[in-house]
Amino acid sequence: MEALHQTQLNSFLLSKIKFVLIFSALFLSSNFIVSGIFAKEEIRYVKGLGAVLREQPSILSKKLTKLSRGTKVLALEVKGIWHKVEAGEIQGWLLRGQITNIPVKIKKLVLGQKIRLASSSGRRVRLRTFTAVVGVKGLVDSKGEKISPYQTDYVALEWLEKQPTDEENSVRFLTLSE
Amino acid sequence: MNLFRNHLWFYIFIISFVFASFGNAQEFRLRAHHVYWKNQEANTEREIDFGRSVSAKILGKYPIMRNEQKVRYISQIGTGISAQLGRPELRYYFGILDTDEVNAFAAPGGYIFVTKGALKLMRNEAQLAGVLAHELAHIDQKHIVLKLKLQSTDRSVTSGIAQVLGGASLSAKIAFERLNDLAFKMLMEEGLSKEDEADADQKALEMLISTGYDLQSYLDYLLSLKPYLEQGQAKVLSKTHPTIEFRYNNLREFIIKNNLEKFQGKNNEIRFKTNFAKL
Repeated sequence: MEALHQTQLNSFLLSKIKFVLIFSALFLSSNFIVSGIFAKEEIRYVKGLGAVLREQPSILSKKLTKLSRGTKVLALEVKGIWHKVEAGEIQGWLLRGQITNIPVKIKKLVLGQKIRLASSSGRRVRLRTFTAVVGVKGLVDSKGEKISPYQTDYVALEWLEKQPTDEENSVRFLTLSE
Repeated sequence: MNLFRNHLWFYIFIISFVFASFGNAQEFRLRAHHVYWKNQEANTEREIDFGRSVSAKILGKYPIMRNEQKVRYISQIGTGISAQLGRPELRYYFGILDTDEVNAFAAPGGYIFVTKGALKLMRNEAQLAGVLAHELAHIDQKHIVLKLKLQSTDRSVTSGIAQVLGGASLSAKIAFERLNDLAFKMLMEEGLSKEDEADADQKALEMLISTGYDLQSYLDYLLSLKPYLEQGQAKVLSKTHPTIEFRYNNLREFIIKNNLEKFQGKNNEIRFKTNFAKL
């Protein structure tokens, strides 16, 4: 009787231990995975063209160097709006708006250029995006009401989208002073 | 054999522990980034599509000024700032609205508009840069998108605007259009929250610092808006933004907190005045 009781207790304990082990294993590995995803990996990327690295966390301090877009830097310290980073051999301070934690991929998405509301002969061709269709046709819902009560002007928007821009020239234009 | 079976769970534990610690945290992180990035791309495309539709409504309300030289000038200023501090995946557009109302708008996805009335009120380029930077900050921080809650409720990595608005069915399209009207209404009537505006103002100052513009000019511009708010020429602006006192004090606080009083920036007044001599 005593012995039976002992074995029962043993198997009970064993199953408990199994549970604890499995769950702690799962917990630990999930910890690693989660920390893999949301790792406070101190790696940041320079967002813009010509970010100026400064010696001190102040706008008046000495300029060390300019970092190009997409440069990988190591974030070390935060002080207000300033981040201390290490780029290659140099350490310096950048403004927080100048870096991001997502690798920089430059992809110019100009959806507007896909849409041609009117061909040269004046016929409507190739209405690709839904918004343009709604804009032109005034789509109605099942009750026959116009979906949006607001006026739209896609022709003016296309005119704006056709205006040329050049990032590097604009940055140069901005740094010129009178 | 019995011994092995007895300690099976223990072995599994050890193996999984070893696997997790040596293994593929790094690789997993990269894969997660990849998934995240794919989603970001889809979200960005949707956001641009959404913002484009809002912009068409803005242009349906106010006519656009078709003056290539003036648009090129403000677009150079705006692009100069966005190229340094904006979201690198977006292309930004800067337009002038031909109305005497005083205001500026930002639609998601990179569309920014300033009214002729606001340009008339400005005294120098630093003020223009400040206004554009304020609107850029709204886009960078996705204020409208977040306020519309264009994200599914679970907030998981694989959710977002693309999931909410990406459907091809008619009902998804109607939902898109309804939300779009809400965004337009937010710009014209309801406005964003006080916190979002304060945040955009602060981010605008940060952008002005790193592009070397005078900060006080932007604060002066805010003060110069005041009589117009009382006259009603900036009715939309006063409805959609917190009071000038609130915004001014918020920025003063920010300047003092970050020791920016001594910073002397440029204001390029002459260049600004030659570009906007005739409005």
